[in-house]
Amino acid sequence: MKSKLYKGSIESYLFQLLSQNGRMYGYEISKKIKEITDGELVVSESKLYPALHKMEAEGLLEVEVAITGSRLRKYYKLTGKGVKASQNNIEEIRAYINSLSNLLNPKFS
Amino acid sequence: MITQVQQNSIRINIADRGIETIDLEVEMVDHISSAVEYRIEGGMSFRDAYKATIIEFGPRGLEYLQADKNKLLIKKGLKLIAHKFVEITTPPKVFVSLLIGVLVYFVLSFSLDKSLSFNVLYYGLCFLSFVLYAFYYFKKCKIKFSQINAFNSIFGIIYYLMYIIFRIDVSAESIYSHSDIYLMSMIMIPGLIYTSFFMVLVSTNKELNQEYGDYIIATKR
Repeated sequence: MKSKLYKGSIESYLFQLLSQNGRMYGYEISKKIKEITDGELVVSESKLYPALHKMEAEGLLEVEVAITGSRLRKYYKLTGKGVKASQNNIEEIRAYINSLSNLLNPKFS
Repeated sequence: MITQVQQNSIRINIADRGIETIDLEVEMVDHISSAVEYRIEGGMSFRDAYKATIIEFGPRGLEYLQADKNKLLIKKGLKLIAHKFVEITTPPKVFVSLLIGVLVYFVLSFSLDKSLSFNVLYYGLCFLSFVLYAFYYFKKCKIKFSQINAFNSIFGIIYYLMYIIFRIDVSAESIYSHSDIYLMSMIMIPGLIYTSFFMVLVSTNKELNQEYGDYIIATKR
């Protein structure tokens, strides 16, 4: 991560990516985040996997294992609980962005 | 695409770097292989691509990942045991069965001699166990075989404990003296704890095996 601002928001990226793409695997997620943010945001493996495992343990994600070529691949997708949590998370972020925007661009009457 | 030999070398190397559980091994082999393939497409050799990928994890990154995963597994296992404990100690399973035992003892004590009431209670419970086994055999019983065994053994242990203690205390004049009730609770409460604990272990064993068994297989090759 390049900035401290991004810290703690990894769950939000995961929610957003998985709700848009259905199921994804670890490497795909890290690559996608890098692509979308033009390399501005790089989620290291040491942050990504613990976050995925934690969300899985909390029942927000479920795992599907598929054979790809000669190896197994673990795909993550949102559970019902995860979809609800994702919606709440996006609403919270929108509210936060609005508040931040108001704070940065105050409207003087 | 990397070859099977290269993939195996990745597997061996990450095991040396601290990856122990199968699920994490699967995930890391896939992640590293994908990253290595991507770099090879960019013109790197396998060796350099692998080195560059491993550096991204940090000096002891894989070890930390495994430690983090282990913590989550332990937490999940404890949660599962706690859940099972609550489930099993919920009436009518253990608590009510033991309560019935106590009530039967007091009812029998009205009309029968102390030791005779114990015998009636004990053989009654033996009969109950037999009926449970029979029901289990004919697949009409929802209780697990191990749970019937647990019931049976705990009733046996309680009986013998009561027998030993009451033989010492047989001089007590009143059946309902405080000492009797105190002794009963002394036996019943540890009995309840023992039975619950035993049954939790038995019933979670299978689920824990499913949870951990697949993971905790030595990956050292």
